[in-house]
Amino acid sequence: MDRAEKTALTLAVALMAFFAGLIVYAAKALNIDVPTCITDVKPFTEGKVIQHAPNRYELHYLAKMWYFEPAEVEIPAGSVVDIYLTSGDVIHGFQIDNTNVNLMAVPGTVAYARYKFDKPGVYHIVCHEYCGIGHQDMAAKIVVK
Amino acid sequence: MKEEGFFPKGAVAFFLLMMAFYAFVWLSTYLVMVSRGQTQP
Repeated sequence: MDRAEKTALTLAVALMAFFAGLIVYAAKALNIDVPTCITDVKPFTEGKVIQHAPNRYELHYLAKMWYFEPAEVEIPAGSVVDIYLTSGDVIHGFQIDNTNVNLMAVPGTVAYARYKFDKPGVYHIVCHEYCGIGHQDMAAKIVVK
Repeated sequence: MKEEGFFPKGAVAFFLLMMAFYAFVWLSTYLVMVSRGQTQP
């Protein structure tokens, strides 16, 4: 094999290993992980805000054509929130703007993500899966104070 | 017939630029993800 060819292959493999290493670092050291679809929780039929401790919340989001329930939630900055999401009709999307929370609401299943809201502000939630004529109005928000 | 002393300078330069471009695009996305914070505190 030509020397330049060998160097190119080595460089390409090293770059891929570097990228893979950074992904492992994000998951293990920075605790940024992919969301999960959980199978041991029964899908719920109403949205709910449950406070377990001053900075510990559990949010049950129900996605339906064309709204999220609850539509607005207020929590203090620094809260750790467990987010459970299901759908009451068709497939919806659930993205909290400017965060890594990006879920799918699939009827009959519950999606889960945990997020720590450190910065105060308004976090908009949008449906990012086309779900019908009112899709563009399907939104909610989390107000962090 | 092999040319003596030939080195693929153009190909090497193109390859290095390509690697730098991929790294730039990939790291930009990665840093956005990192700045958006923990999902499993």
